[in-house]
Amino acid sequence: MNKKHIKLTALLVCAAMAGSMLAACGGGNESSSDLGGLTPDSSITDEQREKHTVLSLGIFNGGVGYEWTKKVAAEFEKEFAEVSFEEGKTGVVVDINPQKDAFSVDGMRSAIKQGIDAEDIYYSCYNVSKDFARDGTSLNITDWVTEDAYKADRTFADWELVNGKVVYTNATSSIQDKMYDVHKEGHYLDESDLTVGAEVLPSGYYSLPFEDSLTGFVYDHDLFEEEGWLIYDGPNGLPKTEEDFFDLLDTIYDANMIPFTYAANDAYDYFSRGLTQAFLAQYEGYENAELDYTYDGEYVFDADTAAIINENEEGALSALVDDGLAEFKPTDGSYKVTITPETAWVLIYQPGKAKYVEFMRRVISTKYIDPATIEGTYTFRDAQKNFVWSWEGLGNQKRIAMLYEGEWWENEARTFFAAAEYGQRDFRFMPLPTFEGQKNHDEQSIGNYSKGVDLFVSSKTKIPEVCRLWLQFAHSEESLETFTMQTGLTRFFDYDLSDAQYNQLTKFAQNVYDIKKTDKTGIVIHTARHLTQNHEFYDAMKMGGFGSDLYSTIDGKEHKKMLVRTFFENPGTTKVNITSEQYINGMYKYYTKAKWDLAYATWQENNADA
Amino acid sequence: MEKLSFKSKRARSIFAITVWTLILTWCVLFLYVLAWGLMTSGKSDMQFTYNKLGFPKPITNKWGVVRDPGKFQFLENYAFVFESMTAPDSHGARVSFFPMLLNTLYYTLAYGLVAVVSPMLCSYIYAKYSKRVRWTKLVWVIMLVNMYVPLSASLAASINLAMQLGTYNNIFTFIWTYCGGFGGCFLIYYAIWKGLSWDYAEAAIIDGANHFTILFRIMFPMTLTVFWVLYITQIIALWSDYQTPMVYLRDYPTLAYGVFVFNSTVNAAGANGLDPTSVTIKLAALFIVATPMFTLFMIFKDKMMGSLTMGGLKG
Amino acid sequence: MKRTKLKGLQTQAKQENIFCFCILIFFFIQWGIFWLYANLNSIRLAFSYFNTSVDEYLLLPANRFFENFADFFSLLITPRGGEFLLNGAYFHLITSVVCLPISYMVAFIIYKKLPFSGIFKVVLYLPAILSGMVVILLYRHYITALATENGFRGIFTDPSTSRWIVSLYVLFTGIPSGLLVNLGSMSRVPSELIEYGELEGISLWKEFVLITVPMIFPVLQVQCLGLFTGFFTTQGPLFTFYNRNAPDELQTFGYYMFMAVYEGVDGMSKQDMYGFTSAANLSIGLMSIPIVQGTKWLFDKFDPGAEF
Repeated sequence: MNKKHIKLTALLVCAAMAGSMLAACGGGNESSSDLGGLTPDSSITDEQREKHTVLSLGIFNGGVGYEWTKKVAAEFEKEFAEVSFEEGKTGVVVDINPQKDAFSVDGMRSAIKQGIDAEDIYYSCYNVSKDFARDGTSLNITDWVTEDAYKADRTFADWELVNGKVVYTNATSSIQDKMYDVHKEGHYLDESDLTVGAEVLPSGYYSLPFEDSLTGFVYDHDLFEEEGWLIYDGPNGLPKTEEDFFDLLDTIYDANMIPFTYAANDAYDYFSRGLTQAFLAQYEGYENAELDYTYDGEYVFDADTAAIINENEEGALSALVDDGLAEFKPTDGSYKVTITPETAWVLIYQPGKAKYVEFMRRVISTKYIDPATIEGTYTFRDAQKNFVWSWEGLGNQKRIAMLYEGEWWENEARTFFAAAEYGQRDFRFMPLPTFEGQKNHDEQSIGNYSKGVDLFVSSKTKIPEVCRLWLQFAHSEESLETFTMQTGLTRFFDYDLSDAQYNQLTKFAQNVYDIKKTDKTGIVIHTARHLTQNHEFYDAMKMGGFGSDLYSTIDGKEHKKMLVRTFFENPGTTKVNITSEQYINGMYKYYTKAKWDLAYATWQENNADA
Repeated sequence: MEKLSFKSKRARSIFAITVWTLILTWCVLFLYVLAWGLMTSGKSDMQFTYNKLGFPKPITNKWGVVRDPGKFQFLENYAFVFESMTAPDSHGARVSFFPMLLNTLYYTLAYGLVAVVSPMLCSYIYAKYSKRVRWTKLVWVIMLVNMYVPLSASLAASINLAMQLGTYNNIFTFIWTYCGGFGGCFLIYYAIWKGLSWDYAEAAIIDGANHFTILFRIMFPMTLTVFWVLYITQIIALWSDYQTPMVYLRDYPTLAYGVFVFNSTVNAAGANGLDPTSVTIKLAALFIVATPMFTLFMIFKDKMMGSLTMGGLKG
Repeated sequence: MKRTKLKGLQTQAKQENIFCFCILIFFFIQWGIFWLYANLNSIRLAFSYFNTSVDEYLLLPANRFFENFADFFSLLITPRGGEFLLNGAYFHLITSVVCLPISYMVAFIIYKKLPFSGIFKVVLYLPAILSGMVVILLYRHYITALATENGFRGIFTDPSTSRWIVSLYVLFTGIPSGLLVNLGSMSRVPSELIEYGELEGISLWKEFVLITVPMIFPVLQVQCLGLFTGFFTTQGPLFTFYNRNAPDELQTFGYYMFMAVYEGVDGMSKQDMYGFTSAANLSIGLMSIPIVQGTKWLFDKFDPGAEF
């Protein structure tokens, strides 16, 4: 091959590359709702913009997708096609903008403040309720949330135009009526939340809950039935006790299958928190678990735990007693400690936390986890893919019995299912087993990962009337049903699916619906209070953990990595073998009273003028 | 130098054979990995998952259903990359392929040009005028300071400075950073200028030419080959540079940065059976960014490899 | 006549001065800003902290003036800091002690035009063309696939293998490094010397050691000096391999500093880390003076003093 040929070949390669580039310019993607990082162009034409009012919706383009929004938007446009919201224009068109990175907290805030590329309404992936209310980013929507907009059957009310404004004629209930109490409490901001310097902003709703999804072990119910593994005393034959749970994992392992896979690198931040919260709420009881965030209440440490506290923080409990912040009960040696921001350091000694470490140390084992997860490049997509495909016995892939994921996973993993297969396979959530010593002996729960992510209206919207109607329309019975039918996820509002609708759901979506909406499964959901109800010091402190991440001190070094990640990277077969005992002792050396006192003092100093 | 064949006793020494074999092994391994990467970039995700190293073959499930026919899908994969490869700007908005390509072209062509022209000019002055214009010796002093003073602005300070000067996140003004006259090409060009006779300039002066004319119409044209070699080398280096755009030019992501981000993508779902997180798609992205420079190199390799030496260039 | 000639010379001198000034003034200013001021700014940052209330870097108060330096040296003496240094030294030594001599030998064999040298030259130069990022990611994907197919998982993340596999990459890409520069230097060795050596019947090894290396010693010295200034600050290929998730046992100080500035580390924001990294940079610069001078002294001591 002479030089000319080489040059020619190189040019031909470039031409081929250019050819595929042109091929890419051709069609768009059909299922663009699944494009996590891709941003389709706006489909609203200039002509439409001239003739109709445009409502811009910013949708966080994650596992939920935005196909559901298109369907609701189509109905919304039809509903108000003849109404004029702006002079010279009739009707409304909904411009859906699905983004991911652009809709970061700072991204949304700066877009709204600067009025550049800002949407009217955001369906976000963050808890921004209080922050955005305080800094004027989000609009006070109390009137819209409390206004009756639905008929008795919770469908969208009839309406008429009165002086150009849409007025409902037979409405008997509001968005607020559909909200669960935990979300009403979390989203309703009062004076204490809205005091900014000398100013107190009006109390009320500045956001609504968008997504509050479950996370947990998703198991292949078909496989479990085939193999006869549903032999325990828990719901549907699932494991009841901790020992049952590990017996199941061992059984799966002995059957030459992989007990579970999970998204390794992606899972640390997201899923481990959901699991931690569920575990602690189940073990300690909901109110005790919430102490980690509110720093407001009381906790009783039994004698054994008190001894551990005294071993690590000599004299600390006695000092609390002397200060009137704890009560010693000589009959059983227990201490009832008043939990305040100053004394909350003691919560690291809640037995549930040590128990959680022990449990996770057993779970994160090379025996139980898909070996593929050890790859640094292993993602949640790989986990979903391997879990779905393992059923087919492709290549040398062992069957995977469970996947640790969130409620949205099946919708997100659509592309991995063969066309006829999607929705036909029976996946279900497995609740945590019961643990020795847990407060409510029988309770088995699943965690709520998102702790409520918010949707809100931009404070700078020029079409508040349209936003009002959208919010109310989108939370009608029919719209909420559309959401569930399209995504398989169930929102935490009061609505039901008909039997016909329920039967159209995938089996996994049915399971989620049953867990969230009915008592059929016997599984408890612990929905953590909204972040607005955290004590401010929790938000300000940078010590990590105390109910969320649990760091430790290992070999004298502060180990600022999440527990799940630490155990994952030290599964017991490599040279560093971290035991649960080591981790727990290190935890007590990491979260010391001295460190807490310093952090609190610094926080007080920095907030002296607040 | 004449070629040395293995017929010669010298070439058959242990040293020569060992090193030659090492080179051969290295080249074979490298080309193999390259070929593997190219082949894999045309596979489907399922193919790669269950057949990582070999040529595509049909993948059948345990019921005998063919789940993947075992064919290459280069066009689909590469088209998907062109469609879906995006990089976030500083606001998180996604910048697609064509804007990244434009950014890359500007970054490589303009920045590369100033990175070569700047030391060319400085070295010219020092090489040709330092004996007559004494203060120009300052150029050499600055060169020595740059080389031997062990100070370098920390990355943090550089970012801070860029923000102060208003060049941060501005592809049009950040170019001033590349206008250093005392950079790597200084010594190369200095040797070239030293090798050029001043007689041409003297003849031009007699004819009434000014010094600008001498530089741009007489001296510079004589170094065109060198200039192009250095320029192309700079283009190749800048084309692949992802860290500078990542740190300083967030609103102007280049293809290299786009590919880097794309290869780190873990949380994007796919469409039409294609998945941006799959290795096959990521490899396709790598080849897309590498191919233009590979082509450029193959066209100009004789000039580049024949001309470039340290301390002197063959013009 | 003399006066005219003198006047002519003066005019020419003036023109030359103006010309040089016109060309150089921009570059002096550029250097003044982007090197001199940048370094002064870096020094200033080393004594500053980021004040969140005014969103600016302010000078540290007198009682905390050297806080950033103290933080840097405190980190250095911790086991973690020690690990950073050792890892940096480790990667550095692979490049300087292992790869450098091999790269010279490789260049020598290519320079001697043994069979297929032309093709070898092109292939060896390809990593520079394809870019470090492409080569690293290609390597990563291939090695992961190869290991997985052979039942070995986590080759890049398992502490027992991660170091070797990254070292293998450093070694692999270090072998052809500096190829063109080395070839260029070797091509300047006078052919008469080579011919004389051939006539005397010296082997290729002796030619390499006794003729070529001494002749290109200044180039080798410059390369080594360049290598040693990176002793503390080398990142290795860690960021491209692992992004922000480089295993602890592999992290170098250069990687840590880059991550500190890129997105913050240890719970500190990147703005908070600017002062620390500037102090670290300055300290490292000063600490590397003896290393650089020492290297220079060593080279000068062993410089065969060949000239041509």
